[in-house]
Amino acid sequence: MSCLAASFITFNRRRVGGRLAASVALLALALLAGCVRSEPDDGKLHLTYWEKWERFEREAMQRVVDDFNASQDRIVVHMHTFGSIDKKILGATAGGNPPDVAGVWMPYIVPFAERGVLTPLNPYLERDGIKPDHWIKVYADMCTYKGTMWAVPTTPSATALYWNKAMFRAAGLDPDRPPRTIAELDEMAEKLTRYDADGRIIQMGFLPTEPDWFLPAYGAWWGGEPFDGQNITANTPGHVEALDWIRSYSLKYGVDRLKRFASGFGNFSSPQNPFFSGKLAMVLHGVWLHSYISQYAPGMDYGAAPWPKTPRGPENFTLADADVLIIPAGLPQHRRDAAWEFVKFVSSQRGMETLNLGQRKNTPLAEVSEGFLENHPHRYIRLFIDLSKGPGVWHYPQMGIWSRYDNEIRAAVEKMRYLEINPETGQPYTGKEALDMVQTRISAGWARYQKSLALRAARQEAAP
Amino acid sequence: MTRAERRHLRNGLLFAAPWLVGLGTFLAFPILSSLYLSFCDYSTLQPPVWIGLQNYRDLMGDTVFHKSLSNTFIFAAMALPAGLVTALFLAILLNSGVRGLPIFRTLFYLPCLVPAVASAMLWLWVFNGQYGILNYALSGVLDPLNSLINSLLSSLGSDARVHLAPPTWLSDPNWSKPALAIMSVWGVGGTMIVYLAGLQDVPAELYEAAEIDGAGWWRKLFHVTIPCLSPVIYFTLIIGLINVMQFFTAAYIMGGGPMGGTAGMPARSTLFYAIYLWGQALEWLHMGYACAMAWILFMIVVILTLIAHGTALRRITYLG
Repeated sequence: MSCLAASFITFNRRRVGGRLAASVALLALALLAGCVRSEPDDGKLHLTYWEKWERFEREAMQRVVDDFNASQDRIVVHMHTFGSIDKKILGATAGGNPPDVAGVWMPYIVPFAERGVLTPLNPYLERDGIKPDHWIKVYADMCTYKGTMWAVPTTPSATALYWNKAMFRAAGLDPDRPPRTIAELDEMAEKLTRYDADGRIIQMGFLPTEPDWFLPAYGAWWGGEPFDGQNITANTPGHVEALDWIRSYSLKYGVDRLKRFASGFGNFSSPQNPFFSGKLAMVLHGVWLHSYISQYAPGMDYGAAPWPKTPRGPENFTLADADVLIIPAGLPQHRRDAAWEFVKFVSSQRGMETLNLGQRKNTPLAEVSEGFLENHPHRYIRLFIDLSKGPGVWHYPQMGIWSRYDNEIRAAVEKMRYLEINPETGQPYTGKEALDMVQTRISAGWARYQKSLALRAARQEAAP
Repeated sequence: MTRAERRHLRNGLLFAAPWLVGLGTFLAFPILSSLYLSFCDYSTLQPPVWIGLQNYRDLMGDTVFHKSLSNTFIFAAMALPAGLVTALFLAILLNSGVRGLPIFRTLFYLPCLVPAVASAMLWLWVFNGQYGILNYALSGVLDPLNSLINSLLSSLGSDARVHLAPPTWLSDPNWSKPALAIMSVWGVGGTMIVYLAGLQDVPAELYEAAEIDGAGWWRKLFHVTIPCLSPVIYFTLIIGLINVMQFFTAAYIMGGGPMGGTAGMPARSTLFYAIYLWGQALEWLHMGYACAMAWILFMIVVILTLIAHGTALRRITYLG
């Protein structure tokens, strides 16, 4: 750089060089400015916090951030929200310049933790006397990997079966009696399905693939476990039965008719969402659905109940998930300590209830204030809290390749949905055949992932 | 080298320095490091570890990789010729002395200015199986056709009935790629402008000579216009080939589910090469594997370009 500068100084003797040198200097300055954290000189520590939420969800978090900033005079947290935050955090972490705190999704914890880019929170928790039972067990569990807590839950979720009571009434069903078993669900779904004169479906009771958000949890709902802690168990009976059940809808209603019917569905967050527009009478959805119903189908008369019981699965199955806060590793200790102060504040009852009331979700904390329950707009909020504390609660497995596993399960479900022909048998794939493929691919992927981690471990041991 | 020559060399290099540094930092370095990383186990979060040809060997046995490759070839075989022919057709129409040429030229070019994400969202609704404008139009044709055939069948005493229905496009694994190819034709405005410029360079005396020899419209098209345009067609073919093999944005949005993504729905029929590469690199943190994929794609594009070059070269006429 100095050599270049020197050259330009000599060049400056000729008039033409002056502008060139100035522009290069400006460019260099602009490039360098991007690499340096600029902080106001007010004696406070300014932390950068990246989040993914928008609209009312962002506003709820901003209230918590403002509360934190007002609660003390040492640290100022600046929240920035982005789309595709996972990709940005990946880039920033790889570039060695991560934010001080970041809000990500649960499946990122393990792959990030195993690659050493997260700050373990146990020393802070122990120092401040916060025990895992501060949270509802499932939410603390999903942030803990191999005995270390790597993240804290912010906005949790649990799922339930939502049903449209008006549609139940119209079909002659008891509007206050949701299906309790799969057999009842299938039977009610049939009664709620209507066709036009040409035999096209115009309304359905239930469609396992709508929404398609929780498809990778269906195996567990049906009593399977995708991972036993050591091995991939994608093609075990619970999973196979779940896929065969999805397939039974394609066989019963016809692939073409279902395709045509489903092709008219709009986006989740729109009035054309099939549940909001009265095309589907029952859906499996999360605690957040209430907010969207009140926005896109205000006045809808609906109920919420646990997912129906499957033959092998547990009673009151619910898929629990959470958005989480992480403190990236690699930043100076004093910044990480300050980041923890913020994370601790968010995790307090006051922080959590402000956030989750604002986002209209349940709270991940074991203690719930009466005010939270009374002020919560979701009339079934207690159901979601109870489900998350219940014996049927389940969360996605903690494994470094879950997002890929998830992708493969979805591909297997698509084979059921379209009754794709298996070239080896000339018949549509069965659940077992599709899952055997998942088993093979993910077992290979898992072996490779383990090998990749071992390569690093060997390197670290070899290093002095 | 004299002193003056040395000074000239130094000054020349200094003037070129911003570009040389930029090219080296932002282009040559990433390209070369991706070649190195393709031989590494690399997640982006930790330093790469050399694993030799393992990524390439794994790719050979990866059935989803094969699927993404075949999806891309099938799509390219539909979208590339359709785009080039449509662009040429529009350019010839516009070059035929139509009145209000600037207006039509702007109108046909306009879709290129619509952001890719916005146009993908728009086409999601065009292709909607139930409410889409495309199926609305197709039903207008198919319904009378159905009743005509059915009345014919009944007059022949047959009980058989036909019910031709438009496809459900993006909800149907068999129709999703043709749908995306149709959509890609919407954006041929850029190619059309290139053709239009090429057409305006065709010497008028060649047409006059052809007319004197008694050539009609078609003969002029095949014996004057297209040969004179062949260098331009060749250029657009190569550029189109490179672009179509990297088809990404629309497929990511239209085949990725509610949030966009790498699912390639329905049934992985829109899982294109670049989508799978993205998934490997940024969803599953297999950056080394993704780099190997990128280099294989590069080799494929090089080979296809060489084939196109070899077959086209004999047919290209350079004027002047």
